[in-house]
Amino acid sequence: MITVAHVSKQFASFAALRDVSLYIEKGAIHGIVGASGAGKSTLLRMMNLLERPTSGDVHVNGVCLSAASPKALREARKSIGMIFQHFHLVSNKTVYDNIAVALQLARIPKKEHAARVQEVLQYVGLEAYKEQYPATLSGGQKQRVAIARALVTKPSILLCDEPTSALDPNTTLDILRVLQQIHADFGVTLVIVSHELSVIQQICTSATVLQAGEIYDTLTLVPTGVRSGEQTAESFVRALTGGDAHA
Amino acid sequence: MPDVLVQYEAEILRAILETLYMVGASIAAAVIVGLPIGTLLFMTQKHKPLEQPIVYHALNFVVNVVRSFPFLLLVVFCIPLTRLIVGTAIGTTAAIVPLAIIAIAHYARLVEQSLLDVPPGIIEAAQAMGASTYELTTKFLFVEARSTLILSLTTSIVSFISYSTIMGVVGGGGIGDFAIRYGYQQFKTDLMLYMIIIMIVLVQAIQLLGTFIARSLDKR
Repeated sequence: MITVAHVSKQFASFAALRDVSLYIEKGAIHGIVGASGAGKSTLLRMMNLLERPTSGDVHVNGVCLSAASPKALREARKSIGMIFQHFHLVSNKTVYDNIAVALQLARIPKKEHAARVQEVLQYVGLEAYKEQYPATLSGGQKQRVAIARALVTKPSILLCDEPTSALDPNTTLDILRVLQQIHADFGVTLVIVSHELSVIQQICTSATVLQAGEIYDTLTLVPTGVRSGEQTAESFVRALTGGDAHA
Repeated sequence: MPDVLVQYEAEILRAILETLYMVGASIAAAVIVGLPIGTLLFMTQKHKPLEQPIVYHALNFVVNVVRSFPFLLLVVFCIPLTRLIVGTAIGTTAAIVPLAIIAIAHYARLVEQSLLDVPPGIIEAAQAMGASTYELTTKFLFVEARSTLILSLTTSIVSFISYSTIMGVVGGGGIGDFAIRYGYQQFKTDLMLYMIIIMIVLVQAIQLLGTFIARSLDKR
C-alpha cells in the first residue's frame, strides 16, 4: 500500500502540492483527477520518488521512499511499475529489448528473459511484434509495450501517468480494459492520473480530486467497468467516429 | 601515376601514415576521455540526474577555454606539458598531446549536445525502473543517442584531420606538413594539389562511412 503523509512540493515560487495526505490500500484502483496544474502528476511521481517532496513522507510497501538511500530507492522502484502518457520507449531498442532491459535492471538471470518477455507480450497481444522497433507501432501498441515492460518484473503497484491521454477514444477503452485485466489477474494496485473524469469513472474504486495542489475531495467509486453504451467516454467516441463505435 | 607522385612515393606514404597516426590518436582520446566528459557535462547540468552546478560550470569553462584557443597557439602553449608527458616536444608522438586535448574538448561538447536530444522521458522511465546512473547512461542514453553520437564523432574526425595538418610546426609531419614543405615551399604546386586531393578523399570517405553507420543504427 501507499501512504503519502503531509507532502508538499515547492517549485521555485510555485507550490505544486500543499500538505497532501493520502492512503491507497493494496489492490485498489485509485484515480487522481484535477485540472491542468492541479498537481496530479506531481503527486503520482512522489509515489516512486521521481519527484522528491519538499516536506512530508512517502511510504510504499512499508519502505519510506523519501528517506531511503539511493540503493534502497532503486530496489523499491523495481516493485513499482510506471507507464506514461508518451510511453517513453527506447526507439533504438526492439520491442523485445525494451522489455528485457527491465529484467536486466532487476537482475533477473538472463536465461529467464526470453520466456518472461514472451509471456508478457502474449498477455498484451503483441508477441508478433517482438523484433519490431517502436517507430513502427501505433500509439495503442506502444502503450501495450510500455505496460508489458512495467509488468515483466511482476510489480505490486502500477503507476499510470495519463496513460490514455495521447490515445484516441477507442484505443483508450482498449488500454483501460488491459489495465483492468491486469488488476483482476495479478491483484496489482493501480494508481491512475487522468484529466478525463470518464477514465476514472470507468475503472477506479476510489479517487482523489486535486485542486491547486490541495485535496479537494476523496471519492469512493463503484466502477462501472469498461464497456460500451452509456458511458461518457462512449458518447465521446460516438461524437468522434460518427456513431460507428463498437468497443 | 604522375611522375611527381612516383618520385615522392615514400615520403607521401610516410606523411599519410603520420596523419592516420595523429588522427587515430585523436579519435581514441575523443572516445575514451571526451565521451565520459561530455556525458558528465550532460548529467551534471540543471534538472539532470547528477545535477552538480559547480562541477558543470567548471567543466563547461574548461571545455570552452580549450576550444577558444586558436589551435596553433594551443600547440605552442602545450609544449611544456608535452615535454612532461612524452619527454620531447618534437615529433609525431609529441604532436598527439595538443591534438588529444582539443579532440577531447571538441567531442565532449558534441556528446553533451547529442544527449540533450534524447527525450527526457526516457531518463524518467529508466529511473522509474530502478536504473542506476551507470545503467541509465549505457542502457538508455547511449542507445537512444547512438546515431547522433556517431555523426558527432564523424564531424569531430573531420576537424581532427584539419587540426593535424598544422602539426608540422612541432615536427609532427603528416599530409599537411608535406604539402607545405614540398608543395608550397619548393614550388611544386601540382604536388600540393595532389595532397589536397588526398585530404578531400579522406574526408569524403570518413563522412560517407559515418553517415552510413549512423543511418543504419537509427531506428527512431
